[in-house]
Amino acid sequence: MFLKKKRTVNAVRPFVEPLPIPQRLAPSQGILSQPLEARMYSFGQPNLVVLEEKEALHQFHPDIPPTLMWTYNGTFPGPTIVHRCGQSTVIRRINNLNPNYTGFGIVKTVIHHHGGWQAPVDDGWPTDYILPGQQRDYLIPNILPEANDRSWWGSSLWYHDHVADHTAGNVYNGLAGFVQQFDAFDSDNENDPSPTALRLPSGQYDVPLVFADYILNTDGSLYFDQLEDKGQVGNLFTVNGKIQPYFNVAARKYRFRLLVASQGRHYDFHLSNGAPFQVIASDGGLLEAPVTMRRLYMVPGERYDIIIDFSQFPLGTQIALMDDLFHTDGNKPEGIRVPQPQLLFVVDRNAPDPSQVPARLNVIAPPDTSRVVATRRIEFDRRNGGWQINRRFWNPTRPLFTAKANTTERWNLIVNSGGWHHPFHIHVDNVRILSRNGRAAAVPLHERGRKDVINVPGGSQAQVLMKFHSYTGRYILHCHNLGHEDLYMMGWIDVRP
Amino acid sequence: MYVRNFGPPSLSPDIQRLLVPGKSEDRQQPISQLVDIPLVTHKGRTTTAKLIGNRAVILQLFYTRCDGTCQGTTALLSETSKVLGKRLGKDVAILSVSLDSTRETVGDIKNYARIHNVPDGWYIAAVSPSDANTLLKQLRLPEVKLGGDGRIKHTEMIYYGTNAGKRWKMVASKAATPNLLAKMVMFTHNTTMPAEAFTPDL
Repeated sequence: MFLKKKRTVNAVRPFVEPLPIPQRLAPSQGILSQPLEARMYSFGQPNLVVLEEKEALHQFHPDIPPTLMWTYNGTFPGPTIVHRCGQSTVIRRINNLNPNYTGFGIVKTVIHHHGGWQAPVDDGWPTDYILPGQQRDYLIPNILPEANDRSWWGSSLWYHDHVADHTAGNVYNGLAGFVQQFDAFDSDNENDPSPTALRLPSGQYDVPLVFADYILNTDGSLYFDQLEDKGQVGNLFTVNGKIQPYFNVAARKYRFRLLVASQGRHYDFHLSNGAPFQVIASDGGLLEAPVTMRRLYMVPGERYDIIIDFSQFPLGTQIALMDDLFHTDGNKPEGIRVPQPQLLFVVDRNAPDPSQVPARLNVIAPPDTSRVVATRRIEFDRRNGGWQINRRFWNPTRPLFTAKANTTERWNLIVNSGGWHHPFHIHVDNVRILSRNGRAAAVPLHERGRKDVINVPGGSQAQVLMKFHSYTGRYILHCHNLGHEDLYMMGWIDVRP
Repeated sequence: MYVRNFGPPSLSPDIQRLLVPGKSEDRQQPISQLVDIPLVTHKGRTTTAKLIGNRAVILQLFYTRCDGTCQGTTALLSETSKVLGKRLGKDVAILSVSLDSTRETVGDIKNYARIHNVPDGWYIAAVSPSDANTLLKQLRLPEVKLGGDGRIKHTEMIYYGTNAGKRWKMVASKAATPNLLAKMVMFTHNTTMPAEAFTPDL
């Protein structure tokens, strides 16, 4: 019996299309087809935003036929949700996918507001799915879990599908979008006259960058191996849905919010001319102070905000945002080998720059280990043909362990084998990294803020401080390599009052 | 003086040096429908496509002489068949394909079905050596190799999916409980199954 080969796209002209910037999602106006339930007003009158999941054609590159994808509101990536601290948001999600769809992924969908502090019921439990034709509302309170401590306020989040067994296929199909968070300090206004405003680059100079690697068939359709258990790695590099786009920039500071939305690919970002940039925020929010770096390693699910100051380069300068990690599969990169330009910056104009990067961005109290009530070992490994956490596979009816709300725990995240890395992700609350391989000094400065994705390389361990706040219920934790996650490297914690 | 360009940029020599030309490549087509191969089952001759039809299928790769993981997997499938109840045969088929094509006889297959009291809707099947390898290739598994000790090294994975939906998944046999496997198969197969039906007891 003959198994067909399929010709896939292997080379396209780079830098022929401009970088698209996902539109910010405006609060919905008008009369609701269905009113909000009373619970949605728990934090006052919410902003309502609507995400409609539907098929749409997307063009990755002008040399490749359009691709039929699953989108939020017709675009890939989806529109950017903007939250402001103190103003709750209700996300109304409508599933209008084709009920007769065949292929990888599944039209029974879930949404996870990744990095947000929301009740487990609004967090995206993998079997809380809705069918085509159904809708569901999610309450995002946009409050601080600890009053007056704005270090708990995130900066760059994202939303994506999280359905049991099929998260990889559904995210690959296109169900992902960005979230930007602001407050009175990080106010989305570089001209903010308030003396406490940070005045970071804003507006057109605050740019989300969603990185994802793809394989495309020559007819434009998505190539996806449903039986890839290591996390598929693609040969085409996309930023905000375009293959290797270019971005004309002004000679001034920009804030870029980097998100790795790949299945299993890691990135080691750097600029082609070796210039430094400043890292100002990690998954959980602004860092205490900017960290100047020349290389930034990122794994699936992780976010970092960086500042690049193009005023140091003459007009006409071209700089590529590069990655050079070589992957044969999604388990781990095999080292630095191949220059892979992701995005080309062209410094093409002057522009005023009222923005600043303050030396002090945030106040983050040192990790307080004095209140630790439990120390746990959380081990990621491959056993019995699958991916396990603490020698157990995901089971929606049995938690990994129980914990108590409003307590602090110390977790040792361990990957014994050197054969694979695991980007650990915790839902609802986030963690601080205390040490890597037993050494506090081994935690780099940019990892000392709050994190919800932590890469644990093969043969290493990371000790983290987990603080549960007031929510009770099911907290999910899993490997954010989506191939690993779907092969049951996921568990949950039963958090009790 | 720099002249602003509003179209795609002419690449500078520094950038051009970074570009590595891609090479043309064919890839194995990812699984969409299970490869259609002849089967000799304990109920008679058929093919995978005919056997599956519009049903979901749970696929086990085994051999009757296996004294390792097959016994546990077969026990799991036996329990899963009970959880599936009336769905087995109607909505879901279980297909156990022997990889021991050179030694397995029809008698072995029938005997295995009898010993394990295989219910209707579960098929124990033998295939030719080349068809076994075609199936393994589609599942991205290595070819059959009979060891000197008479054992065949094989996967611990259980595959499930539908030809009609072109949707396939796999799960480590030790990851699955009968309830969970039955649920995940129905979840993957039935696109109108409401979330409320995804209960611990199916």
